[in-house]
Amino acid sequence: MKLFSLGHLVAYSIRLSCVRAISYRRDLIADLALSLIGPASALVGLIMIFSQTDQLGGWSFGEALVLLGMFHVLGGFKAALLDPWLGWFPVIAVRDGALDVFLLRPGSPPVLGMLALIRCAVLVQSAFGAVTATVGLTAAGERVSASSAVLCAVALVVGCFVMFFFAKGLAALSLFAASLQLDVFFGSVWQFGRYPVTVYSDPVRVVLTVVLPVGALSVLPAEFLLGQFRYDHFGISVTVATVVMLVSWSLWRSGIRRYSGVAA
Amino acid sequence: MIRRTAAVIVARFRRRYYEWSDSRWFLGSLVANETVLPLLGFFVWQSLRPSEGDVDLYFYFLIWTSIATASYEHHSVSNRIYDGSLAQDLLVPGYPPTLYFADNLALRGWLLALSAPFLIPLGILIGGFTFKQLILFLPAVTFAAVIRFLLGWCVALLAFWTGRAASIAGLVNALNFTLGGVALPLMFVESPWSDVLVALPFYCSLGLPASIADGSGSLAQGLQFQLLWTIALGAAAFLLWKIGVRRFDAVGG
Repeated sequence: MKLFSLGHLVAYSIRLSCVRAISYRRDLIADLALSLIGPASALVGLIMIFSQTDQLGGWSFGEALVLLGMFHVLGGFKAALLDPWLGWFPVIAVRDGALDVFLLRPGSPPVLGMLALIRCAVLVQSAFGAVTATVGLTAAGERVSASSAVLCAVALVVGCFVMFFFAKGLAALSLFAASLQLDVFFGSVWQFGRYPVTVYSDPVRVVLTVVLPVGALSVLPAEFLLGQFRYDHFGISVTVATVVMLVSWSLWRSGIRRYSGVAA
Repeated sequence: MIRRTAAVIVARFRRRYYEWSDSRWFLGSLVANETVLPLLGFFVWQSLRPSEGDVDLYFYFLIWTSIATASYEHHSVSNRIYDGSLAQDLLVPGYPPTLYFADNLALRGWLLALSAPFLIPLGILIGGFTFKQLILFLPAVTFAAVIRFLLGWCVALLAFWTGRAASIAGLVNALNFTLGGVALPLMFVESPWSDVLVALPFYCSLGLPASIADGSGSLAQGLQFQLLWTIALGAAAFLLWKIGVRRFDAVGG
């Protein structure tokens, strides 16, 4: 898919989703309000934890707020784009055969599927995350340099790509076993990224950084923003991102080969 | 009447139990979903209070409670209201909510069966609890299961009025996390906040059985609040069903 036409398609899908959302205004207001409840409860949870301590895994309250903010920025992307598709794919696409239609279209089936199901209203979570991170930076007394902000933005974009490939890999597994529905699993594992990985014991930390890289996704942009760049974290993240992309790509490729359309 | 209702519940339970046996991977992901937040709380509080053994015990029983009280009526019941298939359940002899209660029991049965091989060895590894604590845990977790089902059922029935029942269920889950003793165990909360938290349905349906099992909670006081919430939510569920069904327009022909 050419980059220009992909950009055009993304813009068109977002516009369509917004038009759909605005058509039912009361539902839109409810969606916006209810989308904020999860992040708000996570924030209250963090405040409750810091009412009992000054440090969480070596992170101060302000730093932990920045981390939580980055977690919600990425979480908004996940909730808007990946979750609807991941819930839809095994049931409708694989079992009911709707994937046939997407395979015939000129473009990547996962990208086209995600854009068709995008929910713009929940992107408000990302905005909440950005505000939380800004408050965290103020509380931590940090001043953000232009280079830190750019590096943080790059880390967030790369994080979105890693999440996309991770979701694509999970979805591809349902092409091997149609009863597999891993959206709930993805949502559960994702929750481990809301606290610093240093909170977890060593084996869990390795799993959350290398095997299921949710721990590193929000930590890296937070470290950039806080000016705590670490080459070892960066190196591990790049390696893990590359492995996730390769594994996801090969899983999808071999899964599609096994798939036999059901919609005749 | 009671015998007939019991027979319907047993028959439905068996049917659903066998139906679920086809989806063990999905059930495994539900177990992970119920385990993850108590596990997060465990990691956080173990790193903050490593020397306090009660923290391990509290979160161990919290994981059991979370799995034993799992409720997904906002998916099952709400979707049947939205797509009109509730009409089929209204034609089945008996009181329809009892069917959903049996569905819920079947799901919980599977979740407990799948998690027990991991949780029982973990309990032996953690240790530090007596048989008496286990016995005290049982009535509290039974009431908690009823409260969480009734709360989930009430939220699911909101589908008669709104298309956002699943989002409202998300709100209840968020309150369960913040006020249910997951983010902050009651043993670390000072009075009068602890007195307020213990009286809420969120704590009664999650944190209370765990705090009774680890010895930090009072069984008598806890059971009083649980009984109160069971009656209140039972009445609300009865009324919501009665009013909601009148609004329901069946589809199909």
